[in-house]
Amino acid sequence: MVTVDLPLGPLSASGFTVQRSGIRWRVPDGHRCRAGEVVAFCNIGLSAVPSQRQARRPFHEEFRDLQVTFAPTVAGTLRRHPDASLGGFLDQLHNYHFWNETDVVAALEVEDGQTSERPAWRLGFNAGLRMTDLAEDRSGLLTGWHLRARAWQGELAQPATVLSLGICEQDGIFRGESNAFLDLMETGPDALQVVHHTDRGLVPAAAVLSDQLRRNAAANTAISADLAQGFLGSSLTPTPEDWIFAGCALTALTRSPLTEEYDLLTRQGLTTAKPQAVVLSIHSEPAMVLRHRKFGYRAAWHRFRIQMAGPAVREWLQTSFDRVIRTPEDILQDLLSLRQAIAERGIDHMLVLNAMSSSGHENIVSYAPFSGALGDVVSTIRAKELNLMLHDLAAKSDIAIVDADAIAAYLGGAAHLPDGVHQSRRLQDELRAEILHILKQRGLFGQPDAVQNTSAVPQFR
Amino acid sequence: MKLDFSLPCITPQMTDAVVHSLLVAEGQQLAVGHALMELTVDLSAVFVHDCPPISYYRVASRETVWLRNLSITQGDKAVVGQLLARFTTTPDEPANGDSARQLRVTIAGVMRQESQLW
Repeated sequence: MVTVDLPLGPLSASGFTVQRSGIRWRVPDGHRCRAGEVVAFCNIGLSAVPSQRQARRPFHEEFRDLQVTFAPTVAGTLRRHPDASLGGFLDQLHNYHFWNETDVVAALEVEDGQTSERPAWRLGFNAGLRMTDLAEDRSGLLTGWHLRARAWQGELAQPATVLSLGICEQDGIFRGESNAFLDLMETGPDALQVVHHTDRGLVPAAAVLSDQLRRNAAANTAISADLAQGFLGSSLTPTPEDWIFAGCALTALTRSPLTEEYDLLTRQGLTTAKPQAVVLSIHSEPAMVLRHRKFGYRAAWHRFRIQMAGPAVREWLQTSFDRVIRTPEDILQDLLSLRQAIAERGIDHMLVLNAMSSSGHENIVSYAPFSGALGDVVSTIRAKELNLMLHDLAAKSDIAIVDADAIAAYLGGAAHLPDGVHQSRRLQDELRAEILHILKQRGLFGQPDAVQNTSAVPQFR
Repeated sequence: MKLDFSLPCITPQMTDAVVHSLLVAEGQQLAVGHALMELTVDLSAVFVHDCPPISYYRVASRETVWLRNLSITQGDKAVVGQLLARFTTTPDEPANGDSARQLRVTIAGVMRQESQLW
């Protein structure tokens, strides 16, 4: 048995000093680590050196929730350095240490001759853009209420960037059990960044995203003024829930996730990246969206979120918006328009998760009880029509379908997708593998593999 | 023959449902496929859920029957297994007494456009 110290290794940013907090361990001393298993993390920050104080500050919106994770490159038994962690705020705030590449925070016990590779740390990074700066939670790894959360591998300079824009069904697929993207970072390619936008502020329907893309700063200011006037001109007194809903809605409405650029810090230094692939969900395409009567922009919020907001929000929505019913054809056109718009902006790949289209809770023997268009009444018919629409869409474009319907059916919908939206861990793992497989096949991570898929589910493509 | 309709366990986790709408009236004859009622099943009552799993179902008869008695009204909450209605296979037989079995029904998940959003 050989014990090898694990120094932090190099991490620098030109023009800045890298600082860090104490180490927070995710595993106990003596833990038998897998290669690539994230065992610790700390908060980091960048302080400009005096000659660079006028330069743009990287991570200026995320600096409070910027973290680095540590994973040993080989398997072994972890021996934590007793002084690496002092607990409390000293392990949460990045002001107390400078990043020193020779600092040893742990050692790894490995078998003699186990590997020719010297054990070292593989770094990963997390960054959270808070929904509001007030939403502070430094209790753990990427904890907090974030409008946008992301993670990237820290060893290579330019990771491929995948943007997740969906409802809660994508939360677990991308953020995983840890909620910090660890499953994806541990199983994905070596050069990967994943960015996840929450749907709490706005449901990312294609029409909504397209309108966000087109808006400029003046339009966003007008939207903010309109909401403020709606509240102040009402006879109703907004409740705290009204104000919070409105704040979140404005935060989401006045940004465009598809045009954002991300700061990256890796072992190679500072750089920036833009999304190259976006993953949407058909569940984000409701049958009805709202269209602003004055400005014409479209928006969508989950019904239960509106109901949990206060009376002022509901009055603003009722008086300021029209309801627009959408057919599957309408949604197809929205998705095609969005695909064209993002292609012009250099986003090369668009994937859409389809919906589970059957239910074990039904026993339909006749459609006689349902009048009118079945797709407008029966939810599984609607799901089938939307899934068929996606096939038409894929035939007309380069949009790829992530066949959640088939994968869930193979695993068993009742066990793994009981309400059609919220998945088991197993199903999330399979969907994650499927998304990575599609992106690999499309060349996002370099040469596509000939045939390689970590999923155990038969390929239905 | 007397047939009962009790609230079925549509999803394994449900304990109750709200009768969102009644589509029949006492004394009415129901042909095969006639819709009986729509139910709202909210699983939030079973487990706290950030994104509430609420689903809607329409129940329709698979038999020709006469509705003799309704035990609930629109808006009521019923628990699984609770008797909701009594039917008979002929219009004038006595409706009291033990039922022979449960009414055979079709259940389908439905969408509600008019109640979406608020």
